Amino acid sequence: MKFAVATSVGLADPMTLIERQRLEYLQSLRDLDAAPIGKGPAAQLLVDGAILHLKADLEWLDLIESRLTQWEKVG
Amino acid sequence: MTVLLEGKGLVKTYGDGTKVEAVRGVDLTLECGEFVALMGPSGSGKSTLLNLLAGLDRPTAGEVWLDGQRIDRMSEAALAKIRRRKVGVVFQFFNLLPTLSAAENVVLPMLLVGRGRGDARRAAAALLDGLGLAGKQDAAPKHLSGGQQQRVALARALANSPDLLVGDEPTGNLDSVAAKEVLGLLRETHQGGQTLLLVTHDARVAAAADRVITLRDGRVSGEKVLQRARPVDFPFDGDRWS
Repeated sequence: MKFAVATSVGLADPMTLIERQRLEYLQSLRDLDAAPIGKGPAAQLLVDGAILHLKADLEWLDLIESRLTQWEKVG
Repeated sequence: MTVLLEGKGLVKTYGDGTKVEAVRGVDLTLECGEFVALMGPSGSGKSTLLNLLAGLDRPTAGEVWLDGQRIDRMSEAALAKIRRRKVGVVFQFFNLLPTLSAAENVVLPMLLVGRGRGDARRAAAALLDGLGLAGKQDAAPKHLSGGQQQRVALARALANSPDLLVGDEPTGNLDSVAAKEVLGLLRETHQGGQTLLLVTHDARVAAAADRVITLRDGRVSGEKVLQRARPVDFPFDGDRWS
């Protein structure tokens, strides 16, 4: 949503936004990877779920980036 | 910190007629003990850049300095010597020699720098042992799983205690369990002081790095120093559920 608003009103370069968001997700992934696993199975499932969500978000950013690149080429 | 590796104004162009500019002016510095991940879409130039920095390919323009020596203008023989001693390489498809056993694959680079056979065998056994392959030393690569082959490749890359370990998608051909194991080993070598430069698509590998550099169209498009992992807030006390 932030992405749609910021780019449609020309506030930010979309590629720069994608880049920043990707690097933020990587930091969150690092945090989750280091989360203590001794918190019990439910906590571990939550951490694994959050990691899978982050990976999906990262893949989505890859998709947006490649679509934008295609659209730029088509003009 | 001491600078181990430096690329200055690196450019790599392929082809004679229609030229393809794979790398278009990249400056990059790696300090001793640092772990840097290179990310970017296919065709962004990340593997080409890695090859230039590791002395596996030569730049069209620019300079590469490794441990205070300019390597991009060296003769092939001098460069090969530097590579054997100072750079370890791990590839996506392992690139083990199929006719040699796991241990012999690790021994070979040691013999190439003049170590005695007995000494090299003992060192290879210790390395493979440390990477969890104690019982697999005599196995041929084709009898090992992907994760095991990559661990042999890692042992081979570390055989001569290189200053720099580079990897091109080291977990790219592994299932998630084997990828996690190999990442754990890479982390351990980094914690032991090893300098690492890895090209990766794998977000978990990138998240383990000290610094992530992203490339797009042959140029650096983003860079971030990752902070030490921050504590994660659990929405409830997990111990009550165990």
